[in-house]
Amino acid sequence: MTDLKNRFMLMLSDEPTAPNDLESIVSAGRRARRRRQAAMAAVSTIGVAGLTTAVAVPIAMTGGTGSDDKVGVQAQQKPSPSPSATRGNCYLIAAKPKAAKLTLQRFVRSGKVGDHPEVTQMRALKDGRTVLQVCSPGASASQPTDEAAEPPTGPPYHYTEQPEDIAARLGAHLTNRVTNWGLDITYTRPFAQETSTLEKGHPAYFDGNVDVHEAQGYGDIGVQVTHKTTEQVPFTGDCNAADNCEETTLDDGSVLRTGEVKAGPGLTVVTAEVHRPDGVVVQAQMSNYPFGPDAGTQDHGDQPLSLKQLISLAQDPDFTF
Amino acid sequence: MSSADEGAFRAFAFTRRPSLRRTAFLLCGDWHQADDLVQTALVKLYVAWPRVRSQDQPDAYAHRILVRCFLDERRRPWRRESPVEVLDDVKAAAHPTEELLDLRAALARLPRRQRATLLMRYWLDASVAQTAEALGCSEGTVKSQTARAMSTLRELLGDHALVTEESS
Repeated sequence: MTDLKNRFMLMLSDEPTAPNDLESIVSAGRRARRRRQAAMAAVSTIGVAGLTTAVAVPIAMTGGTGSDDKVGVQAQQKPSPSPSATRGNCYLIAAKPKAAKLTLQRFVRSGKVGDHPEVTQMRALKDGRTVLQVCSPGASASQPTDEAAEPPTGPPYHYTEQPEDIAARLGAHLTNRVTNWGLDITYTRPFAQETSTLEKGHPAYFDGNVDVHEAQGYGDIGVQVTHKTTEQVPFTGDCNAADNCEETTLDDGSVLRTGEVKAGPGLTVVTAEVHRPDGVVVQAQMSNYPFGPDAGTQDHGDQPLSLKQLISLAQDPDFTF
Repeated sequence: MSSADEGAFRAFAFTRRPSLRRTAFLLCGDWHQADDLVQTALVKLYVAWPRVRSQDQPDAYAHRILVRCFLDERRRPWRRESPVEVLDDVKAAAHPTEELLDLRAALARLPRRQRATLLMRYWLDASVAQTAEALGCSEGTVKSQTARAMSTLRELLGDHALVTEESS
């Protein structure tokens, strides 16, 4: 260690207690994600007219098709890929032809898309500006948008329950399952879905979780149920996305994946997810640490369930909508 | 974001926040502003978390966001620092070049970018290449900024006061 580093450390001797504002950070992060996704959707399909000249909006990690807000249903052929499966960014730039070159040069200098980005002309706007898609090398650029592009195929999906009823039913069922294992629930995050993933007002997925107290401390159990009509919720994708991942095809044709992810020193999240033949994916997770608002002061426990119990949650047919 | 991602984010933020906070303090010299910086950086990290989580070094990524947040602060008029001829605590010393100044005051005299470069190199132990990537500049710029920062610090603190692995 250098002398300078030692002296930096001495500067920290009067460190005050850190604020406990993790909840507000998470809330702000959720809002920021929603704003970002809303901006992506607005840019990609509604039009870029509202954007000022030379505003670049990140449209997605690679693979973004810019069709987030299209309404309709497409059968999911396979689980959504992990966001880590591809690399690079794509951005949309709206600029007038004379300013486009300069705008691009500035954008390249920003380093966001590398020195040799792939540029695709998407379309011309009524005010004379042109929409360009700028992707870092290797990022899979989407095809130029055609106004008359076909909407997603398939009939609209009609939910048979109101979203709040679905949330209440799933939440009650998780509570029932957990308490039947003799665990004390200390915090409940009701089943909900991010509003940004609504498809024409319908929820694409629900998730909720409960913190539980077991002999050694606190842990958490959560379930996420995703309907077959969405490809917006990333799951573990390839089995190698998690440690000790195992994939098994069950008798009914479902695919069961189990694995674990290290979330930090001594912190582990264990996942069991079942991809059912009807397209529903249920992901059950447990962790040896709590998620609730008191998480910072609670002792970490052991994993609250056995792997067998966790798998039974993922296979539970009542987790559906 | 899935509950798994959010859980992992919470765990990461909970465990790594102290480290981020100390770095933020060294950058800005004020614990309250450091908390603001960390909060801003963690919100940005949350937005990118599903992608960041899959990387090998989310901690390095988080620190990079933090440093960039610090550098971006200068673009906000209400946070912009007003350059002065001599800092108050420097004025208090009768002969600032003869008296050993507090490192905090000396750091405050460095331009933000030099301060960030110095901390990346000697606090976060980032390589020249990593620092250049984080700050969005060339490796040559990192070297020159580091040299200038060290020169200023030595001038303010005394030649013998600072020893780094590179200079020793």
